[in-house]
Amino acid sequence: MRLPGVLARIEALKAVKRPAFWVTMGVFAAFNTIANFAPGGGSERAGFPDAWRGIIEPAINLGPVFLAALMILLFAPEFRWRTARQNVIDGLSKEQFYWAKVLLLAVLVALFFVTSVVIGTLPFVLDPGGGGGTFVEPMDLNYMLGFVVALLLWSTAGLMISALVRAAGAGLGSALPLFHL
Amino acid sequence: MAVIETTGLTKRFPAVLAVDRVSLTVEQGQVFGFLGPNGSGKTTTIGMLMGIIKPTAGSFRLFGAGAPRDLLAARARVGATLETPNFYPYLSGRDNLRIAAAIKGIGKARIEECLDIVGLRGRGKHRFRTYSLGMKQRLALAATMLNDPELIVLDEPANGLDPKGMKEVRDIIRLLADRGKTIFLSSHLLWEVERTCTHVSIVRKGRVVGTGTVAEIVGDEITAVVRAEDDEALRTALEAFPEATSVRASDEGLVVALASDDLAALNRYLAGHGIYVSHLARRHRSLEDAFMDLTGEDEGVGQASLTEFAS
Repeated sequence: MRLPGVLARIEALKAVKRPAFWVTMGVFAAFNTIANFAPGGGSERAGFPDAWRGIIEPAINLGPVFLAALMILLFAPEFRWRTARQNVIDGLSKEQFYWAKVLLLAVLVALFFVTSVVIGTLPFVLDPGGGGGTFVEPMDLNYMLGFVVALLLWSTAGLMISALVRAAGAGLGSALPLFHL
Repeated sequence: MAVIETTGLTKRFPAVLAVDRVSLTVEQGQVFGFLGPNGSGKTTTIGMLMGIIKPTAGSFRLFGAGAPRDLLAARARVGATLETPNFYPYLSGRDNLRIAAAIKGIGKARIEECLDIVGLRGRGKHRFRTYSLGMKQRLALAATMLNDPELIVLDEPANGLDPKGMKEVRDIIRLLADRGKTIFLSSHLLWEVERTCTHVSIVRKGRVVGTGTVAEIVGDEITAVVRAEDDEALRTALEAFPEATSVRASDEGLVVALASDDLAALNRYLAGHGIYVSHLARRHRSLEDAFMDLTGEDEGVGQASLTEFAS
């Protein structure tokens, strides 16, 4: 097995140059921000209308689904572009190619989690007395743990769908019933 | 030293026998052409050598290595591309080479060197999807060169290129050959291979039907191109001519292989049979002629041509 660092570097280069990565991350971060700054959230500083929170909150709960979609968008096209095959011809073993995707999954889960935590704690940092309570409460920790588990489950589903369907469009289509659930 | 050695290499897919007991040897320094019509098993054979297709039977060695673990190390001495150039369309040419270089453990300096060799340094920052087919093929050549491999495997490198693009690719292949690289090149562009390769192997329906140096395969047979008003009668007469060893149709007319170079005797014979030729010329036998003879690829074309002429 090659150094995981090499595989991670390759996956990072592929991901950050892909517009789909920034669009998905941007939408996820935007929804998180609106939900955290809307009334009833951590702060009322931004003054978003009440109704916004009700509309946006379900989208926040769909955060892990964004990750599954991103996983499919980043991984599945490798088969259509035949870069999966070329990577093997260039010297990766098939196992190393799939290990690289597992590394990508782990990094994306960490990235989504950190994004959520940073945006979630911003209202308290900006307005320590505004929301009342402590910085992190036991219930928050439980929520975070559940969120990580959900991220892992959905990203693994995205990984498996990509490997089986081998096309981004068909992959997202196959994942739709899962998203509905 | 044998760089590639296959023994009875076979690949059977559920519906088709793609590669049938292929045995061939490619020696160091050869520019080896692997020729065959579309669907003859060329890409499947290369796929097995590169480890992306599992053989059904037979074996092969790269640089003498045959065991799976040794093959992985041997493949580090190979640069290869299969079918069309396979790159990330949204990445620049340079970034695509960075990925290949990272896999091969190569530094950045070599990327610039390879872009220079294929004449893409100025376009290295542009996205792969904006490249012309010729540029894509050249980028694929750059990628194969990254690790300065001893063996370069190219699958249809001139496919779909215009004459200028073909010349560019041919020049790069010659440059690599001059540097002592062994090149294994699959193609169905026969005149292109004849200009580039030192050795060839011809495959038909998965089986090797001829192998040797280009001169050995082409042979020293004397051929002539003949045209007359009645193509069918001409063919019948030529097939009956005692000095004729084979007759086949081509774009230029009927090509007859002769045991002697006495074209006057042929002309007299045809006139004696009431056929007055409109064209009779000696012709150098080409790799295409040898290929047609070995693969029987002209049969369908010949029949179609005759039907067209008759109507």
